[in-house]
Amino acid sequence: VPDDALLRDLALLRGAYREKLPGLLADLAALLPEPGAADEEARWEEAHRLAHRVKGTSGSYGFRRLSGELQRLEDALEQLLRAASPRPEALRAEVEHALDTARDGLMEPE
Amino acid sequence: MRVRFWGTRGSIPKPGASTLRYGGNTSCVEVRTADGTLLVLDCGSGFHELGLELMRSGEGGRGGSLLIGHTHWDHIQGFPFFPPFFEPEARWEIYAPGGRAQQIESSLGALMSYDHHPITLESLEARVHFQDLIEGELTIGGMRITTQYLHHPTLTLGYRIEADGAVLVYASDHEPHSLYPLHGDPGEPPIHHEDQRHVRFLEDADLVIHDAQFTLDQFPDRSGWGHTPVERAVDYTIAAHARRLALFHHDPERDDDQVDALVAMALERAAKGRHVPDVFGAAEGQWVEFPNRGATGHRGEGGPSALLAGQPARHPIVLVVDDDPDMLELLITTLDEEHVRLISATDGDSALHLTRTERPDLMLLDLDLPGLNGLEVCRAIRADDDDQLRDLPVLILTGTRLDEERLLEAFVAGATDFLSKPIKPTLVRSCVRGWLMRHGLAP
Repeated sequence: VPDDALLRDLALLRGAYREKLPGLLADLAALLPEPGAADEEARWEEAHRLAHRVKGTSGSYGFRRLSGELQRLEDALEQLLRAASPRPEALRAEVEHALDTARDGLMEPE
Repeated sequence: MRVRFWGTRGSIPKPGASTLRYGGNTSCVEVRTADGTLLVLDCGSGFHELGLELMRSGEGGRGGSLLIGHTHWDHIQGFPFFPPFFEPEARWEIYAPGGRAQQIESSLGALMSYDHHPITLESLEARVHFQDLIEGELTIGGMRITTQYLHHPTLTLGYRIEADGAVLVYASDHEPHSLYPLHGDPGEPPIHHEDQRHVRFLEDADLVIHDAQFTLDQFPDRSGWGHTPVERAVDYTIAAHARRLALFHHDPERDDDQVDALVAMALERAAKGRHVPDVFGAAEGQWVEFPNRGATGHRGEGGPSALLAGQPARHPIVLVVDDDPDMLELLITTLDEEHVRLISATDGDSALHLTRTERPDLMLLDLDLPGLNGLEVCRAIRADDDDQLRDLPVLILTGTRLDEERLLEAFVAGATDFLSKPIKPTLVRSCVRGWLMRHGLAP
């Protein structure tokens, strides 16, 4: 198979995935729980799973910079999940900052 | 048995003042046995000078055998320029890794098509016979040869040659499956089971000619290129109790002084091993002679034949498992034109069910899955009563950084190899091709 055929197919797929990224990051933001919420633990864990997934997939589609920023978000979520409850505000702020950086980065060309 | 280097350079010929001592020609090694058998390993640009020497010495019409490790440019570019191929009385046997029948003949035929060369393969005057190889054993004259796959972006075989009581291993080009243990002592055995298998291939050799194109420091930027850091070439030689190591496939960006420095570093590392091999940088024109110990028993004698017969009868089945539909779509698109039958699953339980009902030939398996996770799927497959499932190559996809402990856990569970996310689609494609070819199931 000529590489250009594969590259053409991948470019089409990449464009479609690019359209989905704002929604995926919005889903991530919506998952961050309010402090003390009954489902706080489950939501942090779900946010971690989604960040990990989008990090791997976005990087595989060629969004390497976004993938790097989501790696930082994943690391921040891991640090937060390891901390005992109630979790320090600084850790939550770190997560929110990492997510904001990823969302802002989406507006810039890869 | 004796060996002469005709080309030691990797990637591209590098003639000039900076490479006078180690040479600028690409891979080519001559091997001779006491009974006069002539074997040539690879036909990079050094093959041309060997051909001229055979003509000068009156051996041009005699013929011999050529073992090609793989068909990247630097290992075959001398093929059209070998004068003995134009001697009508000469008979040459050409062997190379196949995976599908007539692969080497069509590959060299393309190299000598009118677009690239004025003389076609059909115009060679010598009697030239082509034979595709898989893993196994073959005999050429007084040599017993064992073939084993190396880790390179295209299908590649290493050759273990036993003759006159000596053992020579030719292993170029090859990338470690894993660099672990990262901070072990020199010669500490590797963790990855495929790397352990590679060490066994080198075991007790009198001489190992090994790809050593890069260093560990350079490796992060060159991962996936299919080459061995010199430190690991030394480690494998120590672990295998081999006697001598020829650093081979020199980086074209390295001049003679830099190769000297590499050899000095390798010698220093070798000296710290429990077993201390001699190490040298392979140099064009250099001879290495082995004492003739006469006929001795061959290791692994009676194994399966390395000669490939026939085409695969069906399209291989590849099972792709990932819980992210976007990732799944990317993988399926990447493999869609590979003439394989693709099946997919998004959770561990479905993956296990499909494995048992469809009996795939290869599996790409994400680690983080709903239901059974990737390692649990792996364990269930390896414990199955079905031999084909127990032997199924399982390539783990993971976006998680694997430390030594997690890597070992995955191997114990039955993982065959790893592909890190973010993936590179073209790398996934060549990796899948390679594993299918290894099983004689070329797409």
